[in-house]
Amino acid sequence: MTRNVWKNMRTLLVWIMGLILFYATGSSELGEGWYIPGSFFILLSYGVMCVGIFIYYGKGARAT
Amino acid sequence: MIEDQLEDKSASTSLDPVNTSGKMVKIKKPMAKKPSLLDRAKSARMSAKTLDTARRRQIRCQISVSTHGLPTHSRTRNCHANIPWYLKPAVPAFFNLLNSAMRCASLVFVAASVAEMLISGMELVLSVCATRLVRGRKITCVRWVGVSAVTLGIILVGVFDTNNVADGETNDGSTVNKQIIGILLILGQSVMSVIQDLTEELFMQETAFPPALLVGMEGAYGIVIAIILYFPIAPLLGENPSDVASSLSSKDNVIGLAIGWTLLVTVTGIFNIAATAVTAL
Repeated sequence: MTRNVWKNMRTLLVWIMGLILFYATGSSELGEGWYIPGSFFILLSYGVMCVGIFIYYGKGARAT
Repeated sequence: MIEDQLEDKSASTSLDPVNTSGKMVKIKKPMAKKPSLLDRAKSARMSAKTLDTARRRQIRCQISVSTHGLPTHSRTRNCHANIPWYLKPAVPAFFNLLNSAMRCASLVFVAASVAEMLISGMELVLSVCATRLVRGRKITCVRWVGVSAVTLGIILVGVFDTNNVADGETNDGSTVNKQIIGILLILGQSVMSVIQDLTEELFMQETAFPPALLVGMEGAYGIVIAIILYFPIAPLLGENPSDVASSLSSKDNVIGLAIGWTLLVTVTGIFNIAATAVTAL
């Protein structure tokens, strides 16, 4: 369960690296920027997805 | 009743297959006391009851006793029976190739972070649905709640990211159409990944294919299929195979690739094994 949940943190790492690349190089070709409010909404949606993954692997696995 | 009669017959006479002459000889056994009509009726009723209970238990077992929620009688036993064992790894290898190609292509149209989110979510949802429909695996209600939340998350991420692109906020020149193509490619790669996982699971669980052999043969088949497909497809994508071959023949490139690739595979492998060892406790 732990691994399956933490594996999804890779997405967060990819996002952080993309942001660092974008703001460090200033190039739109590399990485991705943080947009307000769009990026906040995406972060919130990602949170919903993480909750679902936690329920599936955490509580769902214990229920079987 | 039939079973009782058969038992009675076998009790009275039986065949002894091993004897000195090598012929089948009937051996007579002492007959039991003949039961009355009432006793027979009672035992018949009892045996019918016992048989009924046993059948019910058997049916209940078929539903509840399983491996990771799988029914005891496989629905997919016949679908891979005609494939020779040495060709079995080619099936997941082919789907793995399609999955990787679509994943790489999707990154041209969609931001890496959004692609990662959609891939991890879609793979979970699709694999749960596929394993339920194809293999009949039992999924608990709590898990369905989790799957529903993940589905909601996927839809929200897709909608908000497409809105971002439509507003022109991403500034990377991509249009909504490109975004939709990217999302469709991610959906395709998730479907391919689920088929790959399902076939691997089928071969390992139902034909007892050794996992290490499956992984090794899958890799070998993957290389062969990729090389065969590369030459006709690369020119269609504007890539010249002879240019790639000449750049690979450069000594510096080969050394850099060899060192980099070996390091990447080794480090990833070590981290993967270590992570499994730590979290599988």
